[in-house]
Amino acid sequence: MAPRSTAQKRLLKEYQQLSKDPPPGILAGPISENDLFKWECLIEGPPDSCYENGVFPAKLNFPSDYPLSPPTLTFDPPLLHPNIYADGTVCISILHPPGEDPNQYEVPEERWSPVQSVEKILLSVMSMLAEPNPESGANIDACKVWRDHRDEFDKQVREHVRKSLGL
Amino acid sequence: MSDTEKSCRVCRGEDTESQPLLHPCKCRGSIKYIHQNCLMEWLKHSNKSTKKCDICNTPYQFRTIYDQNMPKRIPLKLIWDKLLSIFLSTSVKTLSLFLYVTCLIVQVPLYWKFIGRIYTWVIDGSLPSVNPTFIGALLFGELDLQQYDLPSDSAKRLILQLRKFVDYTYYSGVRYILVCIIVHLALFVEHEWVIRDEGYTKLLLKNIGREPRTKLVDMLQEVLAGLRNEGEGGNVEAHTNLQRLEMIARAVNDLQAQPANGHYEEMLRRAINEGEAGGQNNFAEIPPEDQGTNEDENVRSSDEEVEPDDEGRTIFVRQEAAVEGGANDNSRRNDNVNQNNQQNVDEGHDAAAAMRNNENVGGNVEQEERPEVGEVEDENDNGPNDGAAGDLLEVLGINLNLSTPVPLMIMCDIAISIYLFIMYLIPHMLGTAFISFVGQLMRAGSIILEKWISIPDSLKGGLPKFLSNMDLKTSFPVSYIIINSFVELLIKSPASVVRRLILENDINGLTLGERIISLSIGYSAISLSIYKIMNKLISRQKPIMGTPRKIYKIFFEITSTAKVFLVFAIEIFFFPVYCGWLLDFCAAPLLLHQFISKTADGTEIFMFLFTSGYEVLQTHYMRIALYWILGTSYMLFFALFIGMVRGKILRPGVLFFIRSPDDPNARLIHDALVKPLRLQLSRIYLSAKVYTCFIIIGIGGVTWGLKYYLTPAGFKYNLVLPVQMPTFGLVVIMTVLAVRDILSKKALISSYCLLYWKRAFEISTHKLRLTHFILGKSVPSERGYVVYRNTFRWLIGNSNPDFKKPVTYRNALQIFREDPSVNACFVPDGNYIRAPENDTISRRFIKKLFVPVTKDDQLLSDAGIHVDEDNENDSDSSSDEFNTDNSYVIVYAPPNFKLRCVALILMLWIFSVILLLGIIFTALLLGRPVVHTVAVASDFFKFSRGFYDFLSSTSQNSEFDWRLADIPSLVLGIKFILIALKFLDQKLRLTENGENEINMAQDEENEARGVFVLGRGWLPRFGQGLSFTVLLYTFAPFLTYLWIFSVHKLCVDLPIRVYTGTPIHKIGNADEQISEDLMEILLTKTTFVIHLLVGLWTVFPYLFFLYRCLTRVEWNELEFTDYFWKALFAKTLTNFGVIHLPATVFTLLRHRHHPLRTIRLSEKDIYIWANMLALFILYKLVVGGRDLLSKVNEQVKSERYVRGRAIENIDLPDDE
Repeated sequence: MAPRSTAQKRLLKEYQQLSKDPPPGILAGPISENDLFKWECLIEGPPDSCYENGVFPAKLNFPSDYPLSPPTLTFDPPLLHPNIYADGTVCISILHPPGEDPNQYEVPEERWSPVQSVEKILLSVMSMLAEPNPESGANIDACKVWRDHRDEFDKQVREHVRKSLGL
Repeated sequence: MSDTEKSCRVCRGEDTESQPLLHPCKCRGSIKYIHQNCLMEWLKHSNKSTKKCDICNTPYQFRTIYDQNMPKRIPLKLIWDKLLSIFLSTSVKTLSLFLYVTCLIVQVPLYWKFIGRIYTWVIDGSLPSVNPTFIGALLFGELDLQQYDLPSDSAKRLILQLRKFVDYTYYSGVRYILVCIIVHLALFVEHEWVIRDEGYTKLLLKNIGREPRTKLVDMLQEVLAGLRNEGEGGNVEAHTNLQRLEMIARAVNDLQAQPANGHYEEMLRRAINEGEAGGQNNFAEIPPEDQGTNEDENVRSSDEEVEPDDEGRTIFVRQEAAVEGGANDNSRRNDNVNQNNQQNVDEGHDAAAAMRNNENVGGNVEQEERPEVGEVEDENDNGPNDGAAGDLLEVLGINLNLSTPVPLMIMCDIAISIYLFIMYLIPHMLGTAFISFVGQLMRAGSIILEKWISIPDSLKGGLPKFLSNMDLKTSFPVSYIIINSFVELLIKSPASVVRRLILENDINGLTLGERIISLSIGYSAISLSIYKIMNKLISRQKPIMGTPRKIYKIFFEITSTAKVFLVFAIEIFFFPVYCGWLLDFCAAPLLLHQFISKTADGTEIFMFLFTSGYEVLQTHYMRIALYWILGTSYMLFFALFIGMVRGKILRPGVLFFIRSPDDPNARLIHDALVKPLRLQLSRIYLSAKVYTCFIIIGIGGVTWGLKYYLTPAGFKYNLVLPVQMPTFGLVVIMTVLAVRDILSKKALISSYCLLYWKRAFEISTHKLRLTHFILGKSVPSERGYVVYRNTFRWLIGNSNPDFKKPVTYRNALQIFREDPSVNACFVPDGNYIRAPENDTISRRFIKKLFVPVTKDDQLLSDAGIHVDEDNENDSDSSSDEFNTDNSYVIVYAPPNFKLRCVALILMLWIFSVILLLGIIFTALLLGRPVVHTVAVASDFFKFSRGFYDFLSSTSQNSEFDWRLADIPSLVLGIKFILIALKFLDQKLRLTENGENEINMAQDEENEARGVFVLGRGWLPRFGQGLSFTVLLYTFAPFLTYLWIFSVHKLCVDLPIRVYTGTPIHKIGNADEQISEDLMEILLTKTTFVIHLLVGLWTVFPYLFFLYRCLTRVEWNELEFTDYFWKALFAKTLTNFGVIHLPATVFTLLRHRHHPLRTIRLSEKDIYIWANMLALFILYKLVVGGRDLLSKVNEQVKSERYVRGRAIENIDLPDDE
C-alpha cells in the first residue's frame, strides 16, 4: 500500500531510519505493513535499575494527524512504575500535546513537537524507567511505594521482570 | 550533514522544486530544515499566540508576497479611492462622535432644564419677571443678568452671557441629571434588596392573605372526572390515562396537604394541560400509543407556562418531538391535530433543515480550514491606535454610526419630558393648589390669624431693640450674635415664606426653597392617597384576589422601596448634612475674623457659619457637598472612637444600646422594611438630638469658648483664633502631607491613643466609682465613700481609711469621737445590679436588667419583675433577633448611678479636649519657630514675593499675623510630634524588650534621627524623590505648555498686533506690567479663528497624545514612561529646536551690535517668528502628507496585490 498522507510518509521514513540505525535496547516497527499507525516495540530495561534484564513490550498508537499530535505509548502488560498508569499508558512530557499546561511544571520545550520522533520517545521512556519523576506521578500507589519503601518497590519490579521472562 | 540528506523536520520529506526546504530559525543539525507548508500546519495546530520556533524560540519572520504583476507604482486612481474611503469613514466616525457628544452630553442636560423651566411657567402661569422674553427665560431662567454689570463691548458681553448660561443652565442640568441617576440607581438597588428580603413576602402575605388554590383544585377534579369516564370506555390508551390519573390524584393530594408550595402548582398546571390534550386525543380517536404520547409532548412543550425559565430545553424538546412527528406523521396527518402541533411540525421541518444546513456548513468550514500555501491569519494591521479608541467605545456599547445618536436623543428627551411631567409638574401643581387653597381659607378666615402670623415680624423688630437696650451688643457679643442669628434664621425666614405663600398667595417667582415646600406637599398628597387606596384595598375580607391583589402588590412594592429609601436617605444623606451644618457653626470662630458685616445700607448681616466667609461656598450644592463630607467624616470618626472604646477598653455589654457593626442581628434592609416608619423616625430623631448635643456643646463649646476666652471683648488684637488660612493650593499640599504622615504612622498613633484613653477611662471611672460597671474590674475601695474627720484632713489627703473595716456613717462619727488616731473611715453604699454581659442581647431582655440584687444574684426587691416575667413567653423577639446571647453579670452600681454616667461623659469630654488642645498648641509652638525662620530667611533673600507669599499669604488679609495660629506651623508641629512619638516609642521598646525590635522599622527610625541630626537625613531623600521619572512627568507637560503658549504669543499674537497696528507691549521690560501683558492674547473673532487654525499644529497633537494616554489602560509603567518620553518630551524639545532656536538665533544675529540686555523685539523680528511658524506648519504638512500617502500605498497594496506570506530564512554567520 503506497503511502498517501504526510503521517504515513513520515512514519515510513521513521521506520526506515529505525531499522537502518537502531538505537541500543530498542526495537520498534509497525505491526502490519497495512496499518502504519499501530506499532509494537520492545524496550530493554535500563542497566543499573530495577528494570535491568527485562524486556518490555509496548504498543505505539499514532493519530492520523501525526506528527502534529503525539502518539500514545502503552505497556502491554502494564508495568509497575510511578509514571505509568495502571493500564500501562505512559505519562511523560514528550508525549503531551503542546498548548497551555494547566499545572505549569512542564517546560514547553519538553513537550511534543514534530521535531520529536519515535526514536526519541523510546529513548525518553528508557531514561524514565531509569529515573522516575515522582512530581508528575501517574500511578499513585506505585509512587508511594517507590518513595517510601524503595526496597519493596525494587522487589516487586524484579518479580515482574522475572515473571515476564518466564523464569 | 551533507546537503543530500537534508529533510524537513516535520514530514521528513526532501527538498523538492515545488516544496523547497527553509531554515527559518536558529536550529541547526538534523532539525535545521522545514517545509513552509509543514511549518504553517504546525503553527496552526499548536495555536500559539506568538509565532516562534518551539525549540530555539526564534520568532519566525514573515515576508509579504505580492502579486507578480503588481505595478511598480500603485495607480493613482486606487490611491485616490482609498484616500476617499479613509476620509469618508473617518469623517463619519468623527461626525458620529460629535453627534453623540452634542446629543447626549450637551443636549440632554439642556433639554432637562428647558422642559423643567417650561413646566415651571405652566405652574406659575407666567414667565419669570426678570426675563420676560421667551428665549431669555428659556436660556437664563430666573437668573437676573442685570445684576452683573454687562460690558458694553458686544463680544465680551456675549462671552459673559455664554458663561452665565453654561454656569446657570448647563451645569445645573448636569447636576440634576447626575442626582437623578444616583437616586434612581439607589432606588433600583434597594428595590432588589427589599423584594429579596424575607420580611417583604411575610408582610405582603400578612396584608393580603395567601392565594387560595381552590380554583385549581376544582379544575383538576373536573379533568379527573372526565378522564375516569374515558378510562371506563376501555380504550387502548386506558393504560396511559391511568398513569395520568394517578399523577393528577397525587397532585391533588399534595395541593391539599401543602398549599403554600409553588412547585405543586406548576406540576398541577402541567397535569391539566396533559389532561386536556389527552381529552382531545380521545375525541379524535387516534389509537396508536406513540402518537398520543408524542402529541402530549408537543402540547406540553408548546405551553410556555410549563417551564418558563428553561427556554432552551423547551425548544429542544419541541424540535425533537416535531422532527419525530414529521417523520412518521406525514402520511396520516389528522385534521384534529391542533394548531399548535401544526406549527410545531412546520417548525420542526425548518429546524431539521437548518440542522442539515449546519452540518453542511460545518463540512464546508472543515474543508476550508485545510491549509493553503502561505496563508496565515492576518495580524491586525491597522495598528493599536484605532483599536484603543474602538475598544473604549465598544465597552460603552456605542456603535459609531450616524443613525443612532439622534433617535437616542429623541428617546431621552421624550423620557425626560414624561419623567418631569410626572415627578415635577403634577406634584408641584398639587402643592401649589393646596397652598393657594389654604391661603384663600386663611384670608377668608380671620384677621386675628393674620395678626398671629405677623407676630414674628414684630418679634424680630422688637427683640434686637430690647437687646440693644440691655447693652448686650458690647457686653455679651456672643449672645447678641447668637440670638440675632437665630431670629434671622428660625423666625424671620419661615415667617416670610408663610406670609408670601399663604397670605399673599404670591406664587410668582418662587424661590427654590418655596418650590421644594410645594413639591413636598404634592408628594405627601400623592403618598397619602396611595396609602388610603392601599388601606381600602385590604380592608375587605382576606385573601384578596384578582385585580385588587395585583394592584396592591405593585403599590406595596413601591411603598416598601420608598420607605426603605426614605430611611436610608435620611441616615446616609440628610443626617450627615445636618451634622455638617452644625460643624460649620462650630468651625466659624476658627476661621472667621468677625461675625457681623455691614452692607452698604447699614443693615447687619450675621455670619455664624464659616462657609459664609467664602465666595465659592455660597452655592447651595457646594455647601451641601461640603456639609455631607464634613458630617460623614465626623460620624466616621465618632464610630471609630466608639469601636475602639467598645473593643479595647470597656467591659462588654456597657454599650448595649449602640449596635455594634459586627452584630449578627443588624439586618439593615430588614429592619428598615419591617419596623414601623414612625419608630424609625423617632430613633433617628433621638440620635439627631444626641449628635446635636455632642457637636454643639462638645465641639462648638470649645471653639466658641476659645474664641471668647482668648480674645476678650474690647481687646484690640485677636489671639490664636482665627486660624490664618493660607492659599488654597497650600492647604491642599499641607493636608496631603499631614494625612500621609498620619496614615504612615497609623498603628503608632492608634496605640498611643488607646493608651491615653485607657488611662482617661481608668481615672474618670475611678473618680466616679464606676470602674466595676464600665471597665469590669471590681475595685473594693469604690464600693463606698470615705468620711474624713474634717475638711483639713480631706485636703491633706494622707489619711487612708481602713477598707477592711466598713462602717456606717453614724459609726464613723462615733469612731472619730472615740479614737483620735483615726482620721478617715470607709462607708460602703450603693448596691449590685444586673447588667448585660454582651452587646448582642435582645431588646426585650434589657427590660429585665438593671435591677438591684445582692452579690449572690438574689433580688433585693421583687416588685416590677413579675410583669416582665409574664412577657417572657412572647416569642416575637426570637423572630426578630435570631442570634441573641441573653446573659447578665452582677456589677456594682454606686448611688446616683445615672448622674454619674452623665458625669463620666463630661469627664471624657474634658479628657478629649485636653488631648486635642494639647496636641494643637504643642504643634503650634513647635512648628512656629521653623516657619518663622523660613519666613525671615526668605525675606532676607528677597524672594519674598515668591516662596514666602506662597507659604504664608492668607486669603483674607495678606499680612501674616504672628499672634494667630496658622496651618503651616500646625502641620509642621504635628510632624514633629509624630517623630518625637516614634522616637519615644522606640526608646520605650528598647528598654522593655532589649534589642530585639531594633530592626522593626529601620527607615522610619532613620527619618527620626534625620531630624535630630539636622538635615542629614533629609537631603538624600530629597535627591531620591527627584528621580528621572518625576522630573519627566512634571517638567515635560510644563515645557509643552510653554511651547504652545510661546508659539501662540510670539508667532501668532504679536504678528497680528503688528499687522493690525495694536501696540506691542515691550517684552523684556522689567516693569510691573509685564506679567499681565505677557499673558494677554488679543482676542477677537478673527484672531480666535487664526489661533484655532494654528492650534491644529500646536495644541491638537498634544490633545491626541493625552487621549492616547487616557485610553491606553493596559500599559505598564515602563512603556508609559517610554511613550511619555518619546511623544511628549522629545517632541517638544524638537519643536523648540525647529521654531524657537532658529528664530532666536536670527533675532540675535540681527541685533548683534546691540548689548544683550537692550534687545527689544521690533516688528521685523516678529515676522521672523511668524515665518518660522509657517515653515514649521509647512514642514509638518509635507511630512504628514508623505506619511499618509505611504500608508495608503501600503494599504492599497495589501488589499489588492497580496498573494500570501512567506517565511524568511535566517542565516547564521557560521553557516556553511
